[in-house]
Amino acid sequence: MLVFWQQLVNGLVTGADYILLALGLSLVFGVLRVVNFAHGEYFMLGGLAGYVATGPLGLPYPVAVLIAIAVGALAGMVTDIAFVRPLRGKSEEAVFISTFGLSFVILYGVDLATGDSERSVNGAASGSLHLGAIIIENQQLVTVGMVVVAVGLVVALLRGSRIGTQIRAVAQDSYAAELVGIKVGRVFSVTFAIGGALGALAGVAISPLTSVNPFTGQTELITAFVIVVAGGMASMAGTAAVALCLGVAEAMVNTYLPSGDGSYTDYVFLVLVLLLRPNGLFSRSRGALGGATSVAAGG
Amino acid sequence: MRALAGLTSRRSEASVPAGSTDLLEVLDVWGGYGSGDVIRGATFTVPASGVVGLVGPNGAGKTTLLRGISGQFSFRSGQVRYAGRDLGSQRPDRRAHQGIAHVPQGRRLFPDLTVTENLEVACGVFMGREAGRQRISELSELFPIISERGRQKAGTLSGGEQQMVAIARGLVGRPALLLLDEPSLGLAPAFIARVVDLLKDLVAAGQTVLLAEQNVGVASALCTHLNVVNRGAVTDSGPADEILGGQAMQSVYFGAGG
Amino acid sequence: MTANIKRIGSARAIDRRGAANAGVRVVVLAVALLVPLYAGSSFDLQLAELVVIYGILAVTARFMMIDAGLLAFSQIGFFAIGSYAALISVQDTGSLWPGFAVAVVGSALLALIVALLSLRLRGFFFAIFTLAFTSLVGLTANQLSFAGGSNGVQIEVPTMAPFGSLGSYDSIYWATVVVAAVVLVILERLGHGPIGLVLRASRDNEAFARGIGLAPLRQRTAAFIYCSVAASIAGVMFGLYFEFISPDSVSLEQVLLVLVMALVGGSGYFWAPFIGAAVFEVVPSLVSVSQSVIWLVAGALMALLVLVAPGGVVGLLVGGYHRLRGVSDGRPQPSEGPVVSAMDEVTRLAGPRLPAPGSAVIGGNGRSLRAEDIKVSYGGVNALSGVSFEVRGGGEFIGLVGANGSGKTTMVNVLSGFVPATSGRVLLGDTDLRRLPPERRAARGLVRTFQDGAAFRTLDIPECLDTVTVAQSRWALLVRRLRRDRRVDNVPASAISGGARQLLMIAMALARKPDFVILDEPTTALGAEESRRVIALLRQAKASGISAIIIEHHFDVVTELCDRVCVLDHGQLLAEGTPAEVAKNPSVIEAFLGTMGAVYDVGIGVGQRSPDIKLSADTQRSPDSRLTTDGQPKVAP
Repeated sequence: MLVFWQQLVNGLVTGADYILLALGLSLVFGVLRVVNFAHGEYFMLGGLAGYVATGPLGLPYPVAVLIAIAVGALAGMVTDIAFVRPLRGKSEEAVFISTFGLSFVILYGVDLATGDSERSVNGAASGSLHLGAIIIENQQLVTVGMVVVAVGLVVALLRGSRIGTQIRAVAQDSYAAELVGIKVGRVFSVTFAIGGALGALAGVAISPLTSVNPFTGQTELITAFVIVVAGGMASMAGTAAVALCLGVAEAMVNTYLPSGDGSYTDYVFLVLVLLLRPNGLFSRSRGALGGATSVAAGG
Repeated sequence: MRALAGLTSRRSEASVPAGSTDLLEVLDVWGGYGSGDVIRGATFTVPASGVVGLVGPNGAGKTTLLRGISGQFSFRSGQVRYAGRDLGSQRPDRRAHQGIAHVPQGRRLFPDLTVTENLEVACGVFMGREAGRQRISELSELFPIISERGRQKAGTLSGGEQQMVAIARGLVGRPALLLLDEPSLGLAPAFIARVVDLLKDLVAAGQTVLLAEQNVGVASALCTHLNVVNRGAVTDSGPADEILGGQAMQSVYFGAGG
Repeated sequence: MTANIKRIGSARAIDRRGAANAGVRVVVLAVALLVPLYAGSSFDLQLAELVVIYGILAVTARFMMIDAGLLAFSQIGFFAIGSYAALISVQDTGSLWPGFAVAVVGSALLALIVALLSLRLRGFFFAIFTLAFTSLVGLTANQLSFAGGSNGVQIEVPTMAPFGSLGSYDSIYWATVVVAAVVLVILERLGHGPIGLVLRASRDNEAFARGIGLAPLRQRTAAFIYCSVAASIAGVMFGLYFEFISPDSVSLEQVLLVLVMALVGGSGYFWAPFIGAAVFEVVPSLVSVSQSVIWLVAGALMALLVLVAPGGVVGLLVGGYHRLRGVSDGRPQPSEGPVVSAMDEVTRLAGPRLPAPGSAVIGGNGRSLRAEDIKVSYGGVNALSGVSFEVRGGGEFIGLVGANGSGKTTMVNVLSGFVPATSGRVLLGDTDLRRLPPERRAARGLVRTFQDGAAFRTLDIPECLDTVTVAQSRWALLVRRLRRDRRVDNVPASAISGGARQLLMIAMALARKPDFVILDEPTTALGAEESRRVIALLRQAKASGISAIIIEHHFDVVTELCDRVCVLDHGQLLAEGTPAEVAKNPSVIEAFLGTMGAVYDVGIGVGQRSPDIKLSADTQRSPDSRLTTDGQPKVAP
């Protein structure tokens, strides 16, 4: 029983991190209506930045986090300008293929530059908290704290800032937004930058608790897809709930199933959702069957 | 009239060069989107401070013309000249900054933004936060709905209420040229009257308007000059009473001879 | 955009794209056959084997992606299933055939299941579903002990009776070549036949395809199953030759590899993926670089191809060749032979397929199309609030008229089956059409066109008309194809004028010989001359007994063609009657011309004006003219 609660805690921490990951992907989809296959690589880049900053550069963890965010934002903007914008007007599969290729460029670029090995990141806090027999590492609290702050900032940005309102307007009606005088192309780039930053933050936030290697992006991508599809791309609350559930489910599968493989959880979850509720678990509007509203637009 | 004057004073960017009285000239434009040419050689002008109407049945190309003027797509050939200069293939946001505001068919407010946010986002394009707030309060004098329903999500308003907000949104940047696409469409008759009255006030204060309307009554109530659009071209053009009394309207709407 | 089709005369006309394709096919075949003769070492043969195997995977992937419009990540999954089945079978039973049977049948069943579950989903979701499938195959193989777990299966393929010395690499190579040739040539033929036609048509314009009675889902499922089984067979051959398979073969990298091979050669050419396979198998062996570099280049190439050069290698070669010769990229060039207008060409080709004018009797054949109290509402909006009308068979034409947002399009979508009604019935004769999808309604005699006038972009005129034949019966198509004049070089529908395309779309609907046709704004975006042609065609249809519902804004067209007119306003039927009656109806005039209380008497005559018309300056203001929402008068500024 103790194991259960311990794994629940671990799963919730992972799940919280997933919220950041999925939010980035969902934002881009909601505003640009494209799916970015390279999104998982932002996560990997974030973790990598964390490693490089705290390891060889010896910088403190908070600085590493800022560097990771910057790296992610830059990667997002480059993705938009070079790999998505030229394809505007073409089929959605075209963007999918283009970013699929990009993901490999990033992944193997890093692999060639740094070599494929597991590395660890020095986090902000060591030591742990004991709740009865359950151990909560301080770093886990830091991670969750970062998630809460980041989500709060994003919500504040979307609701309260000029660019945030523009993003919401473009997500709701890009035709009208253009007529009103909004530079829609710029909004797209900013959105992609935010998506990249969130992905990278997810990577650097969890990196002290796990190890960092060039291939994490691929697994995280599937996780992100699952959450975004299941969350219905329609509400923040829905996405958050799915993210947490998935984190916990993975932890449980890993622990309790013999030779359990957490990855199974993701795929099975995805298949079930696509079969039973293709619109996502929380969406009232069309999702997999056509059209979608989004976290950005109104959630 | 003072409030209205402040509301609708023109931006200097759009001053008409000497020697010409036309704010907008559409010259032999062809084009459309997708498979065919919806617009086939349309030509007309809009004088500064004029109120010009495009009338004709649906499918004639009125909306397409407005969309081409505001830059949503480029005409295949022909010219659109604004304040004496060829607009070329400028994007809509550029044209908005030059003083062309397009209130689209069906209003197209941002449904999940509040009324105030709809205006704020338009303000943000032209001015800073403080100036924006001032502008919105100016506009709410002419459009009380702004202060009455400011916090309501725009998607929950009725058609007529949305139309008011949409026109206000178009006026935010003090445009020299206001393009209105079928403002009466889908509106209950009582609201049509209100919208017409509002537009009359704007026109009286000097706003240049190009109005596309299927509803000839609305067009005739506002416009001094009408262009009849049929199959993508302007088939008849002249002062409103001439056009209304002539054969053009009958044949275009109900076939020759009724 | 050329308005005319230029018909190139006699024997010199060639189909340039088909020629390029045939060229690639010959080269591939030649190389495949010659390689064993010149293979210096077993390594060379191994490369060749890989090229052929990946060629199968890439060609089928390209076919699905480009011709069928399906981006599928499942080829590698089925490939692995084939390999595992073959090797486990040899290992446990000593014979290949059980494994082969399991591979083929099992893959077909799995593919059918995957298709049933996911083909209805939008592009991205379908792709993710197939990716999940592939990953699950790998994960499962990793778990199963009889599949060797993470170590995979490694065996020695023994000599087997029917094949004699199958143990030799040479004979496996030949077997692979034969298998590849058979599987792919069949696919190519299928692609040229009715299945390929339907796939491409529904990729171009799915709604219209269904509107004339094609059922794209069936063909896509068939294509998906065939390609998946082909991938599985490729896996069997791989297992035989390399005698090893493991879960590591199922990876995102392999998925990328197959896709980039499919695209590098040229996305528009059937055999070009072999070039991609050759590039990615041969080049790395010549240059000593690490695997990581290869994957990096593959990813970059894939993105670049989509961004910059969708034509791929073959596309570049063909383009270069034509540029050298001073002609454009394969479009037909003016040469001898008469220059023909596109509209004439449509009329000439479609003419024989249209029903002949006979003695049409409205209501004569008994069946009528009835809408009973149709209500449609979504999201709190009432698009239609109880509309009823009837169209009699035998040549009655009803005009459906109304402002934007009046509900005309919704009504037509309900009648044709694209949108379900919230309540009310649509009856064709005595049959309630509820729940029947558009393609089934077409089979019962109700077809429709669309106002975008797009027809099928990449198909030429004869092919467009052939899709109608397919919708009616497949066998008729084969006969007609044999008689087709292959020397005539026609342009795709996207290159002819909009008017000709609209005419074509209507002709296609009429060629289906329906009882009822729904025409969505047939003369919008057409000039006067083009409209006349369309009207003439519709008159001919009317005379032959086809009834129609026409959405039209041009009242002159309505007056010319329609027996009756239904006027919709705000989701309700405002008026119904002959065009003349409706034009005089005060409520209709009010709704359209909107004189706000004045009466505009259309019957007065030219030049006269009713004295009640008010002009801009002196129109009466309505009572609560100020703008507050609570009715209080506003203080003047």
